[in-house]
Amino acid sequence: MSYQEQRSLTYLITNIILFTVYGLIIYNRYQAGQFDTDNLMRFWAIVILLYIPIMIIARIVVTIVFVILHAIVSEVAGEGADEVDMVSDERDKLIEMKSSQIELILIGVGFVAALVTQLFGLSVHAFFLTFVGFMFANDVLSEIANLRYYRRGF
Amino acid sequence: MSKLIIENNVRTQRFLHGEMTQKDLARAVGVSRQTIVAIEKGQYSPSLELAFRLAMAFNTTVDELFHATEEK
Repeated sequence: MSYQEQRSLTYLITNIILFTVYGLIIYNRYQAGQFDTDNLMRFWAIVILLYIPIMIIARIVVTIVFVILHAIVSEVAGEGADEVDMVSDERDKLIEMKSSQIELILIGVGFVAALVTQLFGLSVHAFFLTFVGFMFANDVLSEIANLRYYRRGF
Repeated sequence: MSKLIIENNVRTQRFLHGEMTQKDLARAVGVSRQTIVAIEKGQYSPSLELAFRLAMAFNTTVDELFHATEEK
């Protein structure tokens, strides 16, 4: 498995774990009445606005840890950490662009699906759960797409 | 419009240049080793700039390094 595939797989696993843990924490706190549930819009604003920096910080930390671990494992395996494998080139940018396309489509579809819940008179929770669900699907599917593109060459 | 199949002689050129490694070639043209692997396997068609860089690395021309055939 190449460096890029390992990195995509790491991000994929991180996204799933973080989303699940964050979702469980929020759910438990919500059930325990630790949020102001009278103002649902404010509740969801807090949930989403907290999730974004957490994801950004987690991505930075995971990237640093991954690079260090990759270097150590390569060194132990006797291959030596090689910057040639870590270079970001035109193929990486093309793959990034293709997965960004998937992200944009899913965000758009997610927003429309969330609006449809309101069309059927469902609650504010349904709107945001649909939207957040698509955000998660977007994170997971874009990494799966990355993996697939790296596996088949492009 | 029929699909173009782009093939290349990168593997042959590496052999002709003292069995140059994929890593050395990648370093010479500024890409990752995986990109060289993908090009050699015909899975990825490089940009014009990278094609020229590869040709320069082998002291040859793009025309000699890459050739296209129409899929029937």
